[in-house]
Amino acid sequence: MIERLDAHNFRCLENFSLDLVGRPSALIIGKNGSGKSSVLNCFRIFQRIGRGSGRIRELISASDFAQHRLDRPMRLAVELSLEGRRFRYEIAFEWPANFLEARVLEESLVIDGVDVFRRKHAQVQLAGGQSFGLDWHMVALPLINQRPGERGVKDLKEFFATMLLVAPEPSRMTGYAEEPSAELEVDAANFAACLRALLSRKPAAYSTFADQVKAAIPDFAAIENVERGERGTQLMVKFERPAGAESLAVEFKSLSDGEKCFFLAAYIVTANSTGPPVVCIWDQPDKDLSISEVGESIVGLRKMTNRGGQFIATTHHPETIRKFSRESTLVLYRKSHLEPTVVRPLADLDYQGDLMHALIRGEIMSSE
Amino acid sequence: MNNYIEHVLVIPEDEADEQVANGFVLNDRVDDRRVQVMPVARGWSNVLKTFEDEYISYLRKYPLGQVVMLIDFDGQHEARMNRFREAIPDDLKDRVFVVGSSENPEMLKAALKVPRLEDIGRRLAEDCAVGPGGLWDHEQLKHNAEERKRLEISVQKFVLP
Repeated sequence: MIERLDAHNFRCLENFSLDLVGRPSALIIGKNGSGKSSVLNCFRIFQRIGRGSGRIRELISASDFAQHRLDRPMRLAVELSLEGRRFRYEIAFEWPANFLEARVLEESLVIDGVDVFRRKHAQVQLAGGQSFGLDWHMVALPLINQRPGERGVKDLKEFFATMLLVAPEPSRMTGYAEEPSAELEVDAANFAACLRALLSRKPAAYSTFADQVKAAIPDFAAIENVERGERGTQLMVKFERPAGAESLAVEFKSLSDGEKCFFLAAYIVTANSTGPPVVCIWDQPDKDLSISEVGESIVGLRKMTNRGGQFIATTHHPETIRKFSRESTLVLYRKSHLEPTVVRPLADLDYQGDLMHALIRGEIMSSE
Repeated sequence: MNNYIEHVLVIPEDEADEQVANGFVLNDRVDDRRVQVMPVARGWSNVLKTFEDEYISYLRKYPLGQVVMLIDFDGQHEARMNRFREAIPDDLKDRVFVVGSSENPEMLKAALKVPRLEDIGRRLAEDCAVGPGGLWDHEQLKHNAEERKRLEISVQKFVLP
């Protein structure tokens, strides 16, 4: 579970900390431009590192430095708790004058208070005393391996790689897949590939998945992957009348945007129910849903925390805000584009009367 | 929410009650597709007015629907119950329930020393599933015994299957 994110000099985040201890589900709200997407982008950097992206230019660009100021280092750190072990991974980038891309200033991984490695520029120092040199435009973590039988580093990389960071673009969710994948893309374009991987790894998960979809789409009957082209499969969705007398099969891509999001939510909840706990960070999980569906969908995703999962969402939707406790809701705000983002729990903010009215008045999003 | 199967709508008096209700639904034992927590009514008298204005007709339109009004009794349990009893039409009495804390949920939260109001709801759902007693017997909640018994017969079977 993610316990804390620290970011400094990254976009609008300066001396910024997101405290998620005791918040297995959390909601991030704030006006447009308050920094919600920047928080998600921090997690995307860790995800890319976990998926093996070692080149700095694949992770950040000059525009990611706060106010494009390249004379100060950018720092990102995340603290996690995985199977009772505590992890802190930190990386700092700098952009010296005349460089065409940033380089690593410092990088470190600490597990249960013990250094696994520390790095300064090109020099990487391992816990056992060995050291080696590395291109300073490359991240060290993807290259670090522990001795056989030691799992900490592998666990962390797997955690980063399999975090579900989603801001779905339903028009890109076609249902076509060539190879199964365990790594969901941010736009969920490879949803069908991920579903295939989950169901081939755990066929028994299908009944959970089908139940989840059926709860949202009562006439859903089944899914089927049909061969398409030489290597691909197309996800088909079958609907039927309650008596089962009539049925209709359609390609996944012809579903509505909201229906595709039901399938995505069902995939996430199923993955959490049938495998290791899932961390899901979803940018506006309510975006394509009708108002009567939002609450139920959010409750379903929040329930992942009952099985050790973690669910973090951003939203502007009043129904979603209503479904989170005040203690679990974090408000981001900043005075102007020249000021950094500040975060505070909604429970600590003072407002009178109805929360929704206070939000509409802008009373909460601009609190000092 | 499928209005054509057994379901229950919860009308909370205020945000504190809303969070208790949200916590109830978040308990894994609860079928969250059968419960809809509606927006807060802002005050017990508005709960009653909302019920009269919107939910009497709703319940007649959807015979498998039920309504739970979640209010703060502010130390006036009998008086408030009587006001609600008078307002609920005879043909709907079996499908309408009024529950809440004897004062307010914040006092219950302080007494239980739980970090969130949601935690109260989660525990109430758990104790419904387990059987009589538990948190429902707390000083702030024990006056709900009669309503809870009715809920057990009418609602629990599909909300806590």
